[in-house]
Amino acid sequence: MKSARLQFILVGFLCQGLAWETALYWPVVIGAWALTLIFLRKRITVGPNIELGALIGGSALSYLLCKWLGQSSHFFLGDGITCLQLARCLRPLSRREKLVSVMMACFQVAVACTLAPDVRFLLLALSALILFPKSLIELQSEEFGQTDSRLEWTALIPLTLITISIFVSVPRVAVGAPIQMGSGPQHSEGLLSSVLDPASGGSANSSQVLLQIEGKAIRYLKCMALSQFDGKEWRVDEHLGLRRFRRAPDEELASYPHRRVRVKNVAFLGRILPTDGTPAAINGQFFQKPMLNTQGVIECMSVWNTVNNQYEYWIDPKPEIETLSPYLIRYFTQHPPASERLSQWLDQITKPATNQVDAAHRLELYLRRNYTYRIGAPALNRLDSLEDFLFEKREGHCERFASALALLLRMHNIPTRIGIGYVPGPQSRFSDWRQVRFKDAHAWTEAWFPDAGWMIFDATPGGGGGEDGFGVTQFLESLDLVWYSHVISFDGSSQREILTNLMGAMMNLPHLAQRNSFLALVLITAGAASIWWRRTNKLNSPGATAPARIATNADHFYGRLLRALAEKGIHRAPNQTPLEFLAVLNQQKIPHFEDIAQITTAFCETRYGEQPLSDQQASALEAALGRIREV
Amino acid sequence: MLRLTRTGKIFVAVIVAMQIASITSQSGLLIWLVGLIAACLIVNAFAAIRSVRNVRLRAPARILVEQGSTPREPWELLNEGKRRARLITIESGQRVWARAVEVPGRGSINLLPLDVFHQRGVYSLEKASVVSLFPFGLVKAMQAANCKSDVLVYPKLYETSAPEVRGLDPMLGGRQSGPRRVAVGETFAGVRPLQAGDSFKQIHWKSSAKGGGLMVKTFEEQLAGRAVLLVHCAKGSPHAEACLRAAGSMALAGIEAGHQIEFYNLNEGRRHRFPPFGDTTRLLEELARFDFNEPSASEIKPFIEAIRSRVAIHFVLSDLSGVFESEIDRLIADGKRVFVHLPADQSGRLGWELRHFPTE
Repeated sequence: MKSARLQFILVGFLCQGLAWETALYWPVVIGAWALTLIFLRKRITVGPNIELGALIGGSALSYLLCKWLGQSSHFFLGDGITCLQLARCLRPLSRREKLVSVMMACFQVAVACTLAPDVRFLLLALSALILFPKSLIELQSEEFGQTDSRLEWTALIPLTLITISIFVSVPRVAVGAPIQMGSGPQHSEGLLSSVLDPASGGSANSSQVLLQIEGKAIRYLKCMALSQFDGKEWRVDEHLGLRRFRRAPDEELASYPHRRVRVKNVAFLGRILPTDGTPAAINGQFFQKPMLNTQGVIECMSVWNTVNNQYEYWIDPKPEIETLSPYLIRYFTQHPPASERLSQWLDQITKPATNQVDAAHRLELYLRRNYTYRIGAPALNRLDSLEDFLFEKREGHCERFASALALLLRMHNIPTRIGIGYVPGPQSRFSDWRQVRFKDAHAWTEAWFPDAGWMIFDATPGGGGGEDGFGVTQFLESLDLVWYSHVISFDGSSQREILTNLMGAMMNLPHLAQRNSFLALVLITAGAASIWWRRTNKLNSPGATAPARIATNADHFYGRLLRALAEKGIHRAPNQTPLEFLAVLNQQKIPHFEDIAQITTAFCETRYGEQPLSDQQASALEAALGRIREV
Repeated sequence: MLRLTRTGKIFVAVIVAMQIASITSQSGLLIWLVGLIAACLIVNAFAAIRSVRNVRLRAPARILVEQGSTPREPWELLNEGKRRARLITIESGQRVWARAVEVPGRGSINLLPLDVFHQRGVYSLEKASVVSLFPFGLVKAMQAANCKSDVLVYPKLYETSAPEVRGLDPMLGGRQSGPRRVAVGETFAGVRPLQAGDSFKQIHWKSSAKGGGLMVKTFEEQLAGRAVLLVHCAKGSPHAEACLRAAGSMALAGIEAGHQIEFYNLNEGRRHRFPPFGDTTRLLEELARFDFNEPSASEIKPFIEAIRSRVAIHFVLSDLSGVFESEIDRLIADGKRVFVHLPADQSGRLGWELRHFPTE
């Protein structure tokens, strides 16, 4: 377990665990790793066939488990490799096999890198930064009969700096892959299922980041709308019309609220570009021909997946009020007939309202204040789900509130639809960016008024996203955002930004030095003095350690041998060299002469030949001394 | 000079693969891993260069090694720099001569070469390099050892009887005792009165003190028998190495038996004369350097004709060819004492004094 290679293998296992949505993976692999190395190593002998079986069996098991749990099974081979590595921990490996094991761990770390992991990966990355070079040192020192895997600071610091430099400076080349048309939240169950059934697991409700958005006062990022209600459930309008939205002149855009979005999972969104409000203009490089559909959602003609999918848009602060034809008003107000009880209840709440908008606000507030938000609430009666929700269960998740409010407003002759999309998390402490995760999916109600157009109402208690606080969670969230925006999403534009800042700093340096000439002089003098001191004191001449260690080892074993022989009445004359003494012992034909010869030879080689004593040699000499003492 | 090791090449391939994979990856972290591996390569390159830069190899000019064993004389690795040199190997092509974990700054260590030399021949250290793979073993920094030493691997010799000799020459160290008494020798023979020309050092003071005048010491005359070994190992012969081993073993046994041996390398046209109990280094070096050239009959004949009279002639041949047959017959006809040494599976002609040497 002390071996750096074995520790790096464990890091590989933990990285593989990031591909799983369950927290159980890490304890299981850590336990298996420890069990293998502590209890099973050298007790169970496995051959190449069993190792191959572990690879294939592990992969197959992983594939089946992923399918069963409804997770992505893309990384099943990594689990097979985990099984293979565990099997190989059971026996001593050749140098080549050890190298392969390091490469397999490297592969697992690489796989984790492609998963765009959260900030927890930082710990694994730091471990890998230390353990990968240590593994290589260990492999190399074994060639010389040593088990040394020390990574000195003089190597670790340049390693870290070079790694960072390469990470920052290597040009990013991104090739996009076309997204299959027809995919996306409108056509898949992903977004809808996360809204309709947030208690279920799977990637749709995971904390994986979907997108990051920069801007102020961002609330509802709309992806789709449900406008058809058949009495039991809401459906997407199948006859969506697309129209070009008018792009505002560039000079006007400067005064409009601006948003910048980094989409991490284009395949999930498909042709949809989530936006809040009515966009006045939209720019981006990974899509073509953005259009506005009749639900007020931006949809593109084609989309392809690149490394950094960014788009920006400006929100029209005074959008044109949308008019609805009588047909559409009828369409958006369709609802099942209300019972007498429900009608009375509705009248009671909306009676004091002065107008339609006020009535809508009253209903929204009523639901917000008197009902409970709960994920995993019992299912509603399918025959009369609205009344069951309003009068019996009185709890549920966002979709129930959005649906209830939409139906109640329709009963009040207000055209409505349900907006489906995301509510961003709290704003980062360090920037204006926010993260949108899969689990941030939300549903709200949109109501149309002749004088105001479509307005958003959110009846969900506590809905509309978390507040920007200063707790530990918010801090971690902010850290995570920094991690994603500056590490995971580090791209060409980030590189250019750094270069520009660097150039600016360089240009400012003379001015800075001029302004702080005394400080600059002190720094230069201190630097020069440090170099001079290092040179004169020869800080880096640590050669003394090696001979001392060698001499200690040599004296240690030979001295103990002489003491052991003296106890048996065999004394070395002061004028005898070790080899002369050995020759005398040979003539006397004393037992265990071979062991004595071995220690004497090792002593001569280390003491006079200055050959280092390897660990294997040391253990062999220890055993030889033990045998001599036993006689 | 820097060179990637096999492990280094594998990791460069890994870097390329990851760089390609990063093109379509949603995460830029792959570049971090690429950076880590590349950083290991770069740090390795600098550290390895720094390790070997000031290391010098010192070894004896000629290192004699018996086939199938390692050199016994230690080599010295000298570090002229102030930093430790670590994970040093002495290499030449695919051969790793020696390894040293570290050489202290401004210090030196002695190390014994590790390599077992299974093949006879001359291995020059001039082309060897001081190599370091410190610390990761991905990049190899090499520097010419500039050590003008040769490792001379002579064939594994075995104990055998000394070759028959003919003719006796007075020679210090010779095993045969002659009838004469001489001033220098190993076996004391007695004293005689001082004569003109005797050295002052020869005076035997103990007997001179008895009053009979100055007496000088005399010793038994030492005579050494003469034998010529004519060695020819046919190129491509399966017994060529065995033939050389037999010739070397015989020559060594002859020298140690107190004979003077002339060793004729017929393949390359070289001749060496070894006095009794003389230094056998030249013999071993000749055995190590022995190259299986194919001389023509005209090149061989002058050698044979130059052989002195009253000498035992031993032909040690890997294969009996027509040239040697006729020469052996001619020498026998001339009254020379000729012995023919052939591999165990070969036969000579009637009337020859034939000896067989082991072929394994």
